[in-house]
Amino acid sequence: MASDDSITQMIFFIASIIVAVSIAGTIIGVTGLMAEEMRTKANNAVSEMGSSIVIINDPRHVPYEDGVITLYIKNIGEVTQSYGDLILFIDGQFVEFEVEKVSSGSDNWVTGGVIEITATIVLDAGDHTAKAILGNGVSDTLDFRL
Amino acid sequence: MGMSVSIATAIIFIASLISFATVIGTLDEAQSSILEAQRASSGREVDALHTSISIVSIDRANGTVMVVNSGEVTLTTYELDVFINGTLSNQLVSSLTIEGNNETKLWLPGEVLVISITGDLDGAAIKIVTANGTSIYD
Repeated sequence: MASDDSITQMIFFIASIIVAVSIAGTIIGVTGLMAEEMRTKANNAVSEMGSSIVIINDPRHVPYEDGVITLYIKNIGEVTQSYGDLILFIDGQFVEFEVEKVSSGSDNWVTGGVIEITATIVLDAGDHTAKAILGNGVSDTLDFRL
Repeated sequence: MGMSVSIATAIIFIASLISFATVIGTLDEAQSSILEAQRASSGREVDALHTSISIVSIDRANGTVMVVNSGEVTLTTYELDVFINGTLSNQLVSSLTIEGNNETKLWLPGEVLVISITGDLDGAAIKIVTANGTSIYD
């Protein structure tokens, strides 16, 4: 009888340890995921705060010839940007474009660097708006007249 | 029974401590990097607000534009962009010199920058953009 009791106690002991270890593992695992997520969010916020672009065209004379508009965008932030995920809207319409880096040097769009964007779009004479948006949501808008 | 409860509690307590330490460590790291980025971002904005340039004179016949740094921020002569009739024309700029000092690349407040441009500026619309995006038109 005493031996049965001790076996039961042993089983309970092992079970409680297993349960405790599982709970502990889950807590540590979930916390690790939370910490990783916080780190990602912080990195995103830092990249967003360090990013800044400006469309530097002369709004009085935006080059537009044969249905091709040329826009110049300068990186005035502190972060080297990639223009692969840049999005361009002209008058609220998504526009496909070609990018050429104007400033010499590395292939990256470094701070102070200017990229030249050429897009094919039909625009009438009059007022228009161009909006360029980086992958992290930082954007700039230029109102111009053709 | 009593011992198993104590050990289980101890295990969960230690796990909680480890979790807490992880969260605090990450929070601290995240907060300091965000603060640093905020500081840099505000610094950049303040610099941009305090940047001002004005055209002193334009000699269209000789292609010379004189621009004064009328702000409170030291600028540089590189990273300056010049638009002529809406086209980025940095390649037409033959020289960028600070009046009275040919060696320097620093454009201090109050100093006049002489931009020499190859080609005819007659009737041309000019726009000059500084490194932080501040611009002037003529």
